[in-house]
Amino acid sequence: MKPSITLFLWTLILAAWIFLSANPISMGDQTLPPIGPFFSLYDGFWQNAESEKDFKNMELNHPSLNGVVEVVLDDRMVPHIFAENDNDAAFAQGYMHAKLRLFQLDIASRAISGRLSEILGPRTLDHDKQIRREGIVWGAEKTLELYQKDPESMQLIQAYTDGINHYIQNLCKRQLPLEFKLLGYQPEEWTLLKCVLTSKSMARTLTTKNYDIQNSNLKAEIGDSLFQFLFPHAQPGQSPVHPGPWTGLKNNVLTSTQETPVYGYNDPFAAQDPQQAFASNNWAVSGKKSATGNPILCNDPHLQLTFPSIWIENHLVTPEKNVYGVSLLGVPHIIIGFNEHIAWGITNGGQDVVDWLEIKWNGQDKKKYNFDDQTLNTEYRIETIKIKGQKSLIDTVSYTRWVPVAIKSEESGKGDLVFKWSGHDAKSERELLTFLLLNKAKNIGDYMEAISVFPSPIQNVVFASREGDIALKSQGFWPLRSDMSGQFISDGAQASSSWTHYLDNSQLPATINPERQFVSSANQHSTDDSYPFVYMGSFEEFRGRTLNKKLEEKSKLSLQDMADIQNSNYSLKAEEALPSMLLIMDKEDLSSAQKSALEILKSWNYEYTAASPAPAIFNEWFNAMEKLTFDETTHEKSSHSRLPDQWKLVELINDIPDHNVFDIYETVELKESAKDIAKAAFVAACDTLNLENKSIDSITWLTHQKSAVNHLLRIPALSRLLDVGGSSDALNAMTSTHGPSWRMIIELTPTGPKALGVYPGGQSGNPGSKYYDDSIDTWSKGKHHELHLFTNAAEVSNALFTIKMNKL
Amino acid sequence: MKTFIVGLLTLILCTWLTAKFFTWYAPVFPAILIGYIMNWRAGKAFLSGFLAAFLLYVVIAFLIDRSNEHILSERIGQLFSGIGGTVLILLTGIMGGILVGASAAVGASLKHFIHSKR
Repeated sequence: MKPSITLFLWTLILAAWIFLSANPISMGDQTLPPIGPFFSLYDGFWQNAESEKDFKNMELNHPSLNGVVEVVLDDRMVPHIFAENDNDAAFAQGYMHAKLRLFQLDIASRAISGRLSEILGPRTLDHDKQIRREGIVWGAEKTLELYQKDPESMQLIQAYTDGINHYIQNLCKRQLPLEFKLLGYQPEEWTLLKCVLTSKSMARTLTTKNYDIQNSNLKAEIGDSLFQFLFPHAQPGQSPVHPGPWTGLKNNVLTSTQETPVYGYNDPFAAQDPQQAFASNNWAVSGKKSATGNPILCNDPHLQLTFPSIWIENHLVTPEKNVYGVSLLGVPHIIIGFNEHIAWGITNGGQDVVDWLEIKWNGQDKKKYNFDDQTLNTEYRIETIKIKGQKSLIDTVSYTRWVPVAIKSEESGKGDLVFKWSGHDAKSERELLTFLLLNKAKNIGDYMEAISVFPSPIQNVVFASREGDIALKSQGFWPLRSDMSGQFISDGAQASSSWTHYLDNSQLPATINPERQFVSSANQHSTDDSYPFVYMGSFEEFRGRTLNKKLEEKSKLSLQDMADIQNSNYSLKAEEALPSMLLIMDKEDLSSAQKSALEILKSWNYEYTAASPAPAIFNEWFNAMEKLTFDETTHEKSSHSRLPDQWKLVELINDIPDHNVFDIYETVELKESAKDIAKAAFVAACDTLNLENKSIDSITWLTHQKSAVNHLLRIPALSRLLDVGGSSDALNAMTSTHGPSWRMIIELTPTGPKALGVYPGGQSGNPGSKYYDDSIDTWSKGKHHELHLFTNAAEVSNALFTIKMNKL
Repeated sequence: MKTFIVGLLTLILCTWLTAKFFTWYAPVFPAILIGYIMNWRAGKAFLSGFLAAFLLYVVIAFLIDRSNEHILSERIGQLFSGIGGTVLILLTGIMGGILVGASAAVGASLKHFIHSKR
C-alpha cells in the first residue's frame, strides 16, 4: 500500500475513533455518555470508585467562618459537626451536604425552579412549564425578600450557602459526582434563593395535591347529593389527630353566599399518578404509658424512596445545642430529631391549601381583569425555559391579584384558571428560624415558640421532653375558609371566593399532655366536626385508627413495641372489608384456581407480609371493586376522575350493599348490587393475576408490589428492589415507590436520650461508595441504628476521618 | 525485541502521564511521536500502542476496582446492558488501546510517508 494511503487510513481511523468517543451515544430511549471521557481512567467513572484512601483527614480555611469547626465522619458517613456557633455549624453542614450529595442538591434545585430541561432535554418540559406556571420561583423570591429583613436568618443561610459553594469551587472536574459525568454538565453555584426554593419544594410535594377541577366536573356530572355522599367531609368512624373538645374556639367568618357552578375544565398538568402515597406516622407516649417510665417519641415519614435518600443524617454541636437527626438537602438545621432535652417529629397535615379560580378577563387581550368592583391590570413574567439540544421555550405567565394564571384557555378547554397556593406566602421574616429554635428547644414552651412561625406545609409536629411533657400541634398556614366551596373551582372575580387570612396560632389544633397519655397522627383528619373552622383535604383514616388502637391496647409500651408498631403490616382496611366481600360473593361457577385463591383469602390474617400471596389477591380484588363500583366517578380524562376514599367502599359493602352506586352505568337493563360487583371484581382480579396460567404459589406480595428505591434519574442500574412487605394503609406504609423514609424512636431518659433511627439508603450519594446503600438491609429487616449525642470530637466512636475547618 | 520493549515502556509511561495530568485524549500526542520515532511498521505500531495502553488501563482499572470492592463496576456494568465488572475493565483497556494504538500507527505511517517523499 502506498505510504500516503496508509497515513490517510490511520488518520481517518484515529479521527473517527476520537469523534465516536467524544459524543453521546443513543441506545433506544436512553442516551449513554461519551465513552471516551466516561471510560477514561482519570476523567471518567473510575474516579468515582471510592476506597479507603479517600477517607483521610483534611483541613480547609474559609473567610466566612468565625471559629474552628471539627467534622468527624463516623463509620456510616454521618457527619458529627462540632462548631463554636450556629453560623459555623451551618457552613459545615452546607459543605458536608455538598460533599455527600452534590448532584441531589443540584437537580433538586433545578426541579423546583422549572429548569430540568436544561440538562435532561425535552422529556421534562411539561414539568418545567408547570413549575413556572405555578409561580414557584416568583413565590420564593417574594419570600426571600421578606426573610432578608431578619439578619439572623440571612447569616445562617448565607453560611450554609458558603459551605456548599466552597465545596463546589474546590471540586476538580474529575471528582464530579457520577451523574454529572453521565449527563455531561457542571454543578452551578448555590444561592440564598435556592435555600428558600428547597424549603418550598417539600411544601409543594406535600400540599399541591388537590381535586378542585375534578370535583367541579364530577359535581356537575353526578349531581350534588351523590357527590356529597361519595366525597363527604369526614368519616363517621374516624379517630382524629386531636380528639378535642373545642370549647373556647369560635369561628367568626361569615358563610359566603357565592354558589356559581364553574366546571368543564381540563387540567393539562393533572397528576399522572393519582396514587401518590405521601403519608407518615408520629406519636409520643408519656412516662405513665411507657414501660420504663420515660416518654418515648416515634416518627416515620412516608415519602418517595430514592437514591440518594430525601434525608441526610447529621449531628450538630455548638455551645447552645447538641442535636441529632435528619435534614433535607438545601436547608440547614435538623428537621426531624432530638437533642439532650427533647425530641420531635412531623407528619403531613393533608389540608387542601390550593384554590383554583376562574379569572374574568376584561377584554380579549387579557390585559385587564375584573376583581370585585374594580378593573385591574394584568402583570406578566416572561419564563424562558432552556432545553438541552433544542431552542428555548418562552412562556409568558400572566399574574393577577390572585397570583399566576397556571392554566390557559387553550389547554383548559374553557377559560383561564389561576393557582392560589399557601406555599406562595410568607408571614414572618423569622420563618427560617423554626428549625434552629426547635433544635435548641429545652422544653414544651420552647417547642411551641419555635414552631409558631412555621409556614407550610401544615405539619403535625409531635413533641416529647425529658421533663415529661408530650404534645402535638398541627402547625402551618391553615386557610381561614368560610365554607367548603374551596374544593371546587371558584369565581375569580370575587375576592370572597378564596381565603384571605390564615388561622391564628391560638386557633390551630393542639393536644398537650392528654388524659390518654399519648398523642399521635397518621395523616387522618386533624379534628372531629366540632372544631369550629372549616377545612378540607386528603386524609387517610385507616392508619390513624390502627395506630390509636395499638397505642390504646397496651397500658405500657416498650421500645420494642414501638419498633413493632412502625413495622406493622396489618391492614385494618382488609379486616373490615374482606369478611363481607367473602360473605356476599356468589361462589358458584368458580374455577379451581379461583377457588384456591378464595381459600387463601379465607385464612389470611390481614398482614401484608412479603411472602404471602393473600395481599396480592385482596389488593387486586379491592381495586377492581373500586373501579366497578365507582364507574360514576371514573372517566378516561383524568380531569373528570376521582375515586372516593377507600373507607367509603368498605362502608358501602358492609352497610349498604344495595346502594345504587353499585349499579353499573352501562348495563341499563340490569341492576347490580355489591354481591354482583364482588363476583365480577374477583374474577377480574384473578385474571389480572393470571391465575389460570400461573401457579398461585408463584404469587407473593413481594413480587406483586415490587417495591423499590429508585435513583433520582430512574436509572435501574443505580436503583434497588426491596425485600419488604407493607401497604399504604398499614402502619408500615409501603407502596411500590413510597414508604417509611426515616424511622426514628427516641426514649427521653433522665440521663439523656436513647435513640434509634434508620432510613432506606446511605449517607453518600455516590453510587461508587459503599455508603450509597449500606442501610437498606438494616431498614428492610425493620431494625434501627443506635444514635449518639457525642459532646466533643474525641468522643465519636468509629470515626473514619475528620475535616477541620478554620477561619481564613 | 529490546527496542520493542523500550518503545512499549515509553508508550506506557507517556500514556499514563498525559492521561493523568491532562485529559482523556492527551495520550494521542506522545503516541504519535513515539510511533514516529520508533522504526515500526504501522501495523506493529498499532499493536504496540494498543498493548501499552491496554495493559496500563487494565492494571489500573483492576486496582481501582479491587480497592472499591467492585461496587461501582457492578453498577456501571449494569448500566451498559448488564456486562460484568471484568468486561468493564477489559472494555476500559480496549478503548484506551484503540486510541493509543491508532495514534502510534499514525506516527509510524507519517514517518513512512515523509521518508517516501524524500
